[in-house]
Amino acid sequence: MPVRKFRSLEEATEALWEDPRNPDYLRRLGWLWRFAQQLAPRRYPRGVHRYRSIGDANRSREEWEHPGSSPER
Amino acid sequence: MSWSARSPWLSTDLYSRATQDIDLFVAPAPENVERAKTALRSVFRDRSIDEIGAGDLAGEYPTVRYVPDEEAFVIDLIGRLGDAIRYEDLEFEERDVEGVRVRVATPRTLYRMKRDTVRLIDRADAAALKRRFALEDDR
Repeated sequence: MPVRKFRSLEEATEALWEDPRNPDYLRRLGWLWRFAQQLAPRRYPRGVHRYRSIGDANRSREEWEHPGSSPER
Repeated sequence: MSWSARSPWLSTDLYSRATQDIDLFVAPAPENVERAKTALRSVFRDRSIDEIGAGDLAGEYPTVRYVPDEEAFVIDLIGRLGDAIRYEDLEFEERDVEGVRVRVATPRTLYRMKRDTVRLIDRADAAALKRRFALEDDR
């Protein structure tokens, strides 16, 4: 990939978005997930978990990823 | 099975950002939840999938999360968003994925999911979606 320069982090972040119509999309997704797992292995509690709202589910995910984090984090 | 996906790459009309979860909106009728469980079993062959109750999504637990063994992602089955947005109210568009017709959530639906979250990355996504697709707050 060529070098690209951005005027802000926000601009750089949005440049990461991908076009899902790209026929290579799913293969790249699989590569990205494997690569991310190698760089920063992440393990979530296995099995089935139930939540009363999508907000509760998000908070649970936040706690898994950042134990002890406050809701305002 | 009636379902709609939020792609692991934060699907939108045109663009997406990589995330490590798969959100599936599932019509919460018990027989449809059973079909979703059958589909999950066909991929993961995990007996813990049996713990998903047929009435969960329509009842007290509109979000059920399944974390497959040996995988580094989560799958959220979502029956409704909050009290106001039901499966029938979701906006989606259809895509063909290797011959299978898949319903993908629109940017507005993703924005609704993310705008009130506690996770900073989700808030940033919501702001980016709102800006890119000129979405208006409909609360």
